[in-house]
Amino acid sequence: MAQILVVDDSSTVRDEVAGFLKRHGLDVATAVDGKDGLAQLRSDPKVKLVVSDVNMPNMDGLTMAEKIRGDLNNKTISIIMLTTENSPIMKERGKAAGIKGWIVKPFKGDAVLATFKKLVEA
Amino acid sequence: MITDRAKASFDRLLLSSLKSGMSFGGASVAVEPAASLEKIKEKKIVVLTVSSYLFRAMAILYFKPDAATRAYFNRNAAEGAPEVSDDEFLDRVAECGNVCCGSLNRDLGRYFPHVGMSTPNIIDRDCMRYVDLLGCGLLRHYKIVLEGQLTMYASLCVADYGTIDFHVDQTIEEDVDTGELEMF
Repeated sequence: MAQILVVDDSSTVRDEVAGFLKRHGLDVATAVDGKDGLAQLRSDPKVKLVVSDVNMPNMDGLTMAEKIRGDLNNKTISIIMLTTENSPIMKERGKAAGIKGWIVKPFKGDAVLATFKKLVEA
Repeated sequence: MITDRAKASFDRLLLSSLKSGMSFGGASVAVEPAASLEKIKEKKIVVLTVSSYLFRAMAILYFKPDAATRAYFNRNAAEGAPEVSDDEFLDRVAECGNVCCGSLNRDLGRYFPHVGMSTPNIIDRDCMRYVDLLGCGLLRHYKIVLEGQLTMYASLCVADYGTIDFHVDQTIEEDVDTGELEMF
Protein backbone atom coordinates (compact mmCIF):
# COMPACT_ATOMS: atom_id res chain seq x y z
CA MET A 1 0.00 0.00 0.00
CA ALA A 2 1.44 3.30 -1.08
CA GLN A 3 1.48 6.55 0.89
CA ILE A 4 1.82 8.74 -2.18
CA LEU A 5 0.43 8.41 -5.71
CA VAL A 6 2.31 10.29 -8.45
CA VAL A 7 0.18 10.91 -11.56
CA ASP A 8 1.84 12.13 -14.75
CA ASP A 9 1.72 11.09 -18.41
CA SER A 10 5.49 11.63 -18.65
CA SER A 11 7.57 8.67 -17.52
CA THR A 12 10.44 11.11 -17.00
CA VAL A 13 8.48 13.02 -14.38
CA ARG A 14 7.03 9.88 -12.80
CA ASP A 15 10.50 8.37 -12.46
CA GLU A 16 12.05 11.59 -11.18
CA VAL A 17 9.40 12.34 -8.55
CA ALA A 18 8.74 8.76 -7.43
CA GLY A 19 12.47 7.96 -7.41
CA PHE A 20 13.24 10.98 -5.23
CA LEU A 21 10.47 10.22 -2.74
CA LYS A 22 11.40 6.52 -2.54
CA ARG A 23 15.03 7.42 -1.83
CA HIS A 24 13.71 9.41 1.12
CA GLY A 25 11.82 6.50 2.58
CA LEU A 26 8.32 7.05 1.25
CA ASP A 27 6.12 4.40 -0.35
CA VAL A 28 5.13 5.60 -3.80
CA ALA A 29 2.90 4.32 -6.59
CA THR A 30 2.52 5.89 -10.03
CA ALA A 31 -0.28 6.37 -12.54
CA VAL A 32 -0.11 7.48 -16.17
CA ASP A 33 -3.17 9.79 -16.27
CA GLY A 34 -6.18 10.86 -14.24
CA LYS A 35 -8.21 7.83 -15.21
CA ASP A 36 -5.46 5.47 -14.10
CA GLY A 37 -5.01 7.53 -10.93
CA LEU A 38 -8.68 7.18 -10.00
CA ALA A 39 -8.57 3.42 -10.64
CA GLN A 40 -5.53 3.05 -8.39
CA LEU A 41 -7.13 5.09 -5.61
CA ARG A 42 -10.21 2.86 -5.76
CA SER A 43 -8.02 -0.20 -5.18
CA ASP A 44 -5.70 1.46 -2.64
CA PRO A 45 -7.72 3.80 -0.39
CA LYS A 46 -4.79 4.14 2.05
CA VAL A 47 -3.00 6.67 -0.15
CA LYS A 48 -2.57 9.91 1.82
CA LEU A 49 -1.18 12.23 -0.85
CA VAL A 50 -1.70 12.57 -4.61
CA VAL A 51 0.86 14.56 -6.63
CA SER A 52 -0.58 15.11 -10.08
CA ASP A 53 0.08 16.83 -13.37
CA VAL A 54 -2.75 18.91 -14.86
CA ASN A 55 -2.50 18.45 -18.64
CA MET A 56 -2.78 14.73 -19.41
CA PRO A 57 -4.57 12.61 -22.00
CA ASN A 58 -7.72 10.62 -21.11
CA MET A 59 -8.39 12.58 -17.92
CA ASP A 60 -6.67 15.76 -16.72
CA GLY A 61 -5.51 16.26 -13.15
CA LEU A 62 -8.17 18.78 -12.13
CA THR A 63 -10.99 16.53 -13.31
CA MET A 64 -9.37 13.68 -11.39
CA ALA A 65 -9.27 15.85 -8.25
CA GLU A 66 -12.96 16.68 -8.64
CA LYS A 67 -13.78 12.99 -9.02
CA ILE A 68 -11.71 12.04 -5.97
CA ARG A 69 -13.89 14.37 -3.89
CA GLY A 70 -17.09 13.52 -5.77
CA ASP A 71 -17.19 9.98 -7.21
CA LEU A 72 -14.83 8.47 -4.62
CA ASN A 73 -16.24 10.66 -1.84
CA ASN A 74 -12.70 10.96 -0.43
CA LYS A 75 -12.55 14.26 1.45
CA THR A 76 -9.33 13.61 3.40
CA ILE A 77 -6.66 12.74 0.87
CA SER A 78 -4.25 15.63 0.14
CA ILE A 79 -3.92 16.61 -3.52
CA ILE A 80 -1.06 18.69 -4.89
CA MET A 81 -0.74 19.68 -8.55
CA LEU A 82 2.71 19.52 -10.21
CA THR A 83 2.38 21.25 -13.56
CA THR A 84 3.79 23.82 -15.97
CA GLU A 85 0.49 25.71 -15.64
CA ASN A 86 0.17 28.74 -13.37
CA SER A 87 -3.20 30.08 -14.50
CA PRO A 88 -5.32 31.73 -11.76
CA ILE A 89 -8.43 30.24 -13.40
CA MET A 90 -7.03 26.71 -13.06
CA LYS A 91 -5.92 27.36 -9.49
CA GLU A 92 -9.40 28.55 -8.57
CA ARG A 93 -10.86 25.39 -10.07
CA GLY A 94 -8.35 23.38 -8.09
CA LYS A 95 -9.20 25.18 -4.86
CA ALA A 96 -12.88 24.51 -5.47
CA ALA A 97 -11.99 20.81 -5.79
CA GLY A 98 -10.17 20.96 -2.46
CA ILE A 99 -6.61 20.63 -3.69
CA LYS A 100 -4.03 21.54 -1.08
CA GLY A 101 -1.21 23.04 -3.10
CA TRP A 102 0.35 23.88 -6.45
CA ILE A 103 3.91 23.40 -7.77
CA VAL A 104 5.12 24.83 -11.08
CA LYS A 105 7.47 22.39 -12.83
CA PRO A 106 10.30 21.53 -12.81
CA PHE A 107 10.15 19.40 -9.63
CA LYS A 108 12.64 20.34 -6.92
CA GLY A 109 12.41 17.60 -4.34
CA ASP A 110 14.33 19.32 -1.56
CA ALA A 111 11.89 22.22 -1.63
CA VAL A 112 8.85 20.04 -0.91
CA LEU A 113 10.04 16.92 0.90
CA ALA A 114 9.35 18.11 4.46
CA THR A 115 5.80 19.17 3.56
CA PHE A 116 5.10 15.91 1.74
CA LYS A 117 6.27 13.95 4.79
CA LYS A 118 3.99 15.98 7.07
CA LEU A 119 1.03 15.37 4.77
CA VAL A 120 1.49 11.59 4.72
CA GLU A 121 2.08 11.43 8.48
CA ALA A 122 -0.96 13.55 9.34
CA MET B 1 -2.91 40.20 -38.26
CA ILE B 2 0.06 40.17 -35.90
CA THR B 3 1.62 43.57 -35.29
CA ASP B 4 5.39 43.97 -35.52
CA ARG B 5 5.73 44.51 -31.79
CA ALA B 6 3.63 41.43 -31.11
CA LYS B 7 5.91 39.40 -33.41
CA ALA B 8 8.93 40.70 -31.51
CA SER B 9 7.19 39.85 -28.25
CA PHE B 10 6.44 36.26 -29.30
CA ASP B 11 10.10 36.05 -30.31
CA ARG B 12 11.34 37.25 -26.91
CA LEU B 13 9.03 34.93 -25.02
CA LEU B 14 10.13 31.87 -26.98
CA LEU B 15 13.81 32.76 -26.59
CA SER B 16 13.32 33.12 -22.86
CA SER B 17 11.46 29.82 -22.57
CA LEU B 18 14.12 27.96 -24.57
CA LYS B 19 16.93 29.37 -22.46
CA SER B 20 15.26 28.37 -19.22
CA GLY B 21 13.74 25.06 -20.32
CA MET B 22 16.65 23.62 -22.31
CA SER B 23 19.29 23.95 -19.60
CA PHE B 24 19.86 20.53 -18.07
CA GLY B 25 22.17 20.33 -15.07
CA GLY B 26 23.18 23.98 -15.40
CA ALA B 27 24.26 23.65 -19.06
CA SER B 28 24.77 26.82 -21.09
CA VAL B 29 22.11 27.55 -23.70
CA ALA B 30 22.68 29.93 -26.62
CA VAL B 31 19.82 30.72 -28.99
CA GLU B 32 20.08 32.61 -32.27
CA PRO B 33 17.81 33.04 -35.30
CA ALA B 34 18.04 30.37 -38.01
CA ALA B 35 17.21 31.59 -41.47
CA SER B 36 15.51 28.67 -43.11
CA LEU B 37 13.71 25.44 -42.44
CA GLU B 38 15.58 23.67 -45.25
CA LYS B 39 18.83 23.69 -43.29
CA ILE B 40 17.27 21.85 -40.38
CA LYS B 41 17.91 18.16 -41.03
CA GLU B 42 16.76 16.62 -37.75
CA LYS B 43 14.34 13.77 -38.32
CA LYS B 44 11.99 14.13 -35.38
CA ILE B 45 10.09 17.01 -33.81
CA VAL B 46 8.20 17.64 -30.59
CA VAL B 47 5.15 19.82 -31.14
CA LEU B 48 3.17 21.67 -28.49
CA THR B 49 0.51 24.32 -28.91
CA VAL B 50 -0.67 27.27 -26.87
CA SER B 51 -4.12 28.27 -28.07
CA SER B 52 -6.66 31.00 -27.57
CA TYR B 53 -9.60 32.30 -29.60
CA LEU B 54 -7.17 34.84 -31.12
CA PHE B 55 -4.29 32.58 -32.10
CA ARG B 56 -2.70 29.18 -32.08
CA ALA B 57 1.02 29.20 -31.31
CA MET B 58 2.97 26.05 -32.12
CA ALA B 59 6.34 25.55 -30.48
CA ILE B 60 8.43 22.98 -32.32
CA LEU B 61 11.65 21.39 -31.12
CA TYR B 62 13.76 19.45 -33.66
CA PHE B 63 16.08 16.72 -32.46
CA LYS B 64 18.25 13.79 -33.54
CA PRO B 65 18.22 10.58 -31.52
CA ASP B 66 22.03 10.41 -31.67
CA ALA B 67 24.49 9.66 -28.87
CA ALA B 68 25.28 13.31 -28.11
CA THR B 69 21.64 14.28 -27.80
CA ARG B 70 20.84 11.24 -25.68
CA ALA B 71 23.78 12.05 -23.40
CA TYR B 72 22.58 15.63 -22.99
CA PHE B 73 19.08 14.57 -21.99
CA ASN B 74 20.58 12.10 -19.54
CA ARG B 75 22.74 14.70 -17.77
CA ASN B 76 20.63 14.71 -14.64
CA ALA B 77 20.78 10.94 -14.19
CA ALA B 78 22.65 9.55 -11.22
CA GLU B 79 26.17 8.26 -11.82
CA GLY B 80 26.09 4.64 -12.93
CA ALA B 81 22.43 4.84 -13.98
CA PRO B 82 21.56 2.51 -16.85
CA GLU B 83 21.37 3.91 -20.38
CA VAL B 84 17.90 5.17 -21.20
CA SER B 85 15.71 3.22 -23.60
CA ASP B 86 14.42 4.77 -26.84
CA ASP B 87 11.02 5.38 -25.25
CA GLU B 88 12.58 6.99 -22.19
CA PHE B 89 14.72 9.23 -24.39
CA LEU B 90 11.70 10.36 -26.42
CA ASP B 91 9.79 11.04 -23.21
CA ARG B 92 12.65 13.16 -21.87
CA VAL B 93 12.72 15.28 -25.03
CA ALA B 94 8.92 15.58 -24.92
CA GLU B 95 9.03 16.68 -21.27
CA CYS B 96 11.74 19.22 -22.11
CA GLY B 97 9.39 20.60 -24.80
CA ASN B 98 6.62 20.60 -22.20
CA VAL B 99 8.67 22.66 -19.76
CA CYS B 100 9.73 25.15 -22.50
CA CYS B 101 6.20 25.53 -23.82
CA GLY B 102 4.85 25.71 -20.27
CA SER B 103 7.01 28.76 -19.68
CA LEU B 104 5.75 30.29 -22.96
CA ASN B 105 2.18 29.48 -21.90
CA ARG B 106 2.60 31.16 -18.51
CA ASP B 107 4.14 34.26 -20.08
CA LEU B 108 1.44 34.51 -22.76
CA GLY B 109 -1.14 34.06 -20.01
CA ARG B 110 -0.17 37.47 -18.62
CA TYR B 111 -1.46 39.08 -21.81
CA PHE B 112 -4.10 36.53 -22.87
CA PRO B 113 -5.69 35.03 -19.74
CA HIS B 114 -7.71 32.49 -21.70
CA VAL B 115 -4.80 30.48 -23.19
CA GLY B 116 -4.61 26.70 -22.92
CA MET B 117 -1.73 24.34 -23.67
CA SER B 118 -1.55 20.91 -25.28
CA THR B 119 0.41 17.86 -24.22
CA PRO B 120 3.57 17.15 -26.29
CA ASN B 121 3.42 15.16 -29.53
CA ILE B 122 6.42 13.61 -31.26
CA ILE B 123 6.06 13.37 -35.02
CA ASP B 124 8.26 13.16 -38.13
CA ARG B 125 10.06 16.33 -39.18
CA ASP B 126 8.63 15.86 -42.69
CA CYS B 127 5.30 17.15 -41.36
CA MET B 128 6.87 20.62 -41.32
CA ARG B 129 6.56 20.63 -45.14
CA TYR B 130 2.88 21.38 -44.60
CA VAL B 131 3.27 24.13 -42.00
CA ASP B 132 2.29 26.82 -44.53
CA LEU B 133 -1.18 25.28 -44.73
CA LEU B 134 -1.81 26.55 -41.20
CA GLY B 135 -1.85 30.15 -42.44
CA CYS B 136 0.83 31.34 -40.07
CA GLY B 137 1.13 35.07 -39.50
CA LEU B 138 4.46 34.39 -37.85
CA LEU B 139 6.98 31.63 -38.58
CA ARG B 140 10.46 31.83 -37.11
CA HIS B 141 13.27 29.34 -36.66
CA TYR B 142 15.98 29.21 -34.03
CA LYS B 143 19.33 27.49 -33.60
CA ILE B 144 20.02 26.29 -30.06
CA VAL B 145 23.56 25.50 -28.97
CA LEU B 146 23.84 23.55 -25.74
CA GLU B 147 27.11 23.62 -23.78
CA GLY B 148 28.76 25.17 -26.84
CA GLN B 149 28.64 21.81 -28.64
CA LEU B 150 25.26 20.20 -29.19
CA THR B 151 23.02 21.89 -31.75
CA MET B 152 19.26 21.61 -31.83
CA TYR B 153 16.63 23.72 -33.54
CA ALA B 154 13.25 25.18 -32.75
CA SER B 155 10.46 26.91 -34.64
CA LEU B 156 7.61 29.14 -33.56
CA CYS B 157 4.55 29.22 -35.75
CA VAL B 158 1.61 31.47 -34.87
CA ALA B 159 -1.67 31.20 -36.76
CA ASP B 160 -3.72 34.34 -36.07
CA TYR B 161 -7.52 34.57 -36.00
CA GLY B 162 -7.74 38.31 -35.27
CA THR B 163 -5.55 41.31 -34.55
CA ILE B 164 -2.83 40.43 -32.05
CA ASP B 165 -1.01 43.31 -30.46
CA PHE B 166 0.96 43.12 -27.24
CA HIS B 167 4.34 44.24 -26.02
CA VAL B 168 6.93 42.39 -23.97
CA ASP B 169 9.94 44.29 -22.67
CA GLN B 170 13.43 43.08 -23.42
CA THR B 171 13.78 41.97 -19.83
CA ILE B 172 11.50 39.09 -18.97
CA GLU B 173 11.29 38.02 -15.39
CA GLU B 174 9.03 35.14 -14.55
CA ASP B 175 6.81 35.97 -11.61
CA VAL B 176 6.73 32.36 -10.46
CA ASP B 177 9.14 30.37 -8.30
CA THR B 178 9.37 27.07 -10.14
CA GLY B 179 9.58 24.02 -7.92
CA GLU B 180 8.21 25.83 -4.85
CA LEU B 181 5.04 24.55 -3.21
CA GLU B 182 2.25 27.12 -2.99
CA MET B 183 -0.13 25.95 -0.27
CA PHE B 184 -3.83 26.82 -0.46
